[in-house]
Amino acid sequence: MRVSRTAFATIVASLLLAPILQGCAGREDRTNELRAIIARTVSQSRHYRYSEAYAGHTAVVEASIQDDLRYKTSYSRDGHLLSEEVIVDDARALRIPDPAAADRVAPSIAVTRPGLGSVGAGASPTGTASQASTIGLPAPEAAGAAAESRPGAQTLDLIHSGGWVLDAAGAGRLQRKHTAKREELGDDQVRDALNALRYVDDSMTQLGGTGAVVLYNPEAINYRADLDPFPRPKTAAGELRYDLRQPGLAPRAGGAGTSEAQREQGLPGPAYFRSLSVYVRRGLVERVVESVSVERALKNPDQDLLARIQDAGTQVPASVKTGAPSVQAAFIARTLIAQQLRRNQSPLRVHELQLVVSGLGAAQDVTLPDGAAKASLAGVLPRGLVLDQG
Amino acid sequence: MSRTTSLLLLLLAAGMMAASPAPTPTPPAVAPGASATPSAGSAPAKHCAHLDAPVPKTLADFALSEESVCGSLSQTQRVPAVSALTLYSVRRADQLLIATLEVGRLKPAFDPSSSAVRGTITAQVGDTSPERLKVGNTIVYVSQARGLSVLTWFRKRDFYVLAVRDIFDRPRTMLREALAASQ
Repeated sequence: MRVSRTAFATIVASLLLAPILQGCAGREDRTNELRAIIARTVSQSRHYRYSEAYAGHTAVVEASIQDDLRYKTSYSRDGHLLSEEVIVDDARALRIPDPAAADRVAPSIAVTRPGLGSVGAGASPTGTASQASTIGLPAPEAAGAAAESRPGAQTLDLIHSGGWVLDAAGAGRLQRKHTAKREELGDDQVRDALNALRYVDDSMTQLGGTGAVVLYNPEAINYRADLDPFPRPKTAAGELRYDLRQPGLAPRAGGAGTSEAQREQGLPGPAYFRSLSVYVRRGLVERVVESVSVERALKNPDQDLLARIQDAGTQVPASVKTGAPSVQAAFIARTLIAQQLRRNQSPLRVHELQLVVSGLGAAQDVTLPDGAAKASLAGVLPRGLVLDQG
Repeated sequence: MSRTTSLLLLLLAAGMMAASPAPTPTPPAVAPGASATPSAGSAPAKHCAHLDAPVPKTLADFALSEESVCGSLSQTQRVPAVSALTLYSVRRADQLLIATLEVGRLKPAFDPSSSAVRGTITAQVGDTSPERLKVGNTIVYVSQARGLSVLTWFRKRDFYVLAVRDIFDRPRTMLREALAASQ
């Protein structure tokens, strides 16, 4: 078979250009590279500052991690310190400095506290699980795990006194806590902070396929600065930024000749609204940033979210169709969360999250507090084994 | 490392746990600081390949006793990857078995620093996929078996398997002490 010169030149040119174009599009998959970086990072002692802004609140968790069995955390919300905790092997010390805050941090403590009257086992002042999850408080199920082993009156009195309470065997079994309810981001922000890098790993797994992780490349053909909420990496200082791919929309089912389930399949999951980047320096994680925003997704010229919601059977009011992006975003978020909860899926959580990693390899001061009152902490915010991300 | 090897190890530990006698009033365990010596009537037979690996004398204040593993599942000639094996038991004062510590030495053909060898061993010890824990400078693989937490780690040519009953409330202390002694 003879190949013309022109055809031959075209084939050669396309073979040469393919990798260049791939590079331009930023499609070189860096998933394994980022996994190795995360593994290196979590193999060292370290300090985390985890902050999450959500629903008008800001939660901050500071965590000093010596290793997976020795760490301490402090958890504050909107500037108020809510809890401090130290785990040293089997021992666990807990302090809830502001007794009034105990009601917000640990509903199980609040409802069973002597003298307050019983509101009912497992009840929560925060309302339903989904509401609790959305606003970032421990969900009733999480608190309800305390029902396995309820704290005694002495423990509750000590906790409500605002001092440290120490349980020499309070760290529990060497296994993760298993509950009937899936643990969602926001159910327990201390756990979220400790597991933040595992969360990144899980997100990569969920994306799957090639190109799940790419290096920041503002010259890529598919890069849009207006959809990028994060600062560019300081490359002069040796900083790299790894970006998790945002999945596109599934094909739209349309209205005619399709089932309701098919039309609901056309609605995007939480990952569609998420930008997640990991800043790395000297082969170690320095910072993780995540932004989940419906309003930003509305800037994407390819999106047709309101039409898809209408396809799925939810009427879109005219005031929303013609409303400002913020109005549309609020409506879309509400509708999607309701649909996801109905389908037992992880609900969309609109937030800005940041994890700053420091003190890598340096000794962390993780010691049990002096003068703590001794009591069993069984049933008080039980987490089980949380650091298992190596 | 054959699947048989690791299964034998776990079976041995699980079998001991199951065979643990009912609590009976007996003298308390050897005081901390006492040496780990073969328990009465269970001295290793001469034909067994005994392993002198570093182990603590006590774990969480309970004495270790070396158990005889000869003539049982763990005869090393039946476990081709292992050149020597020693099993210790940890019993409460009432003789209830709360943990076992097994130390095995791999034959030169098996490189314990290889992730493939480690993965093969840890994936088959316990009923659940192993989770990696960083404890001090050591990676410990944690899995669960019925009523047990099974902790595995490696030192040069040796591997350690600490199986702790879930009823015992200080497994991390035990692990930390065993790790320190095995350095």
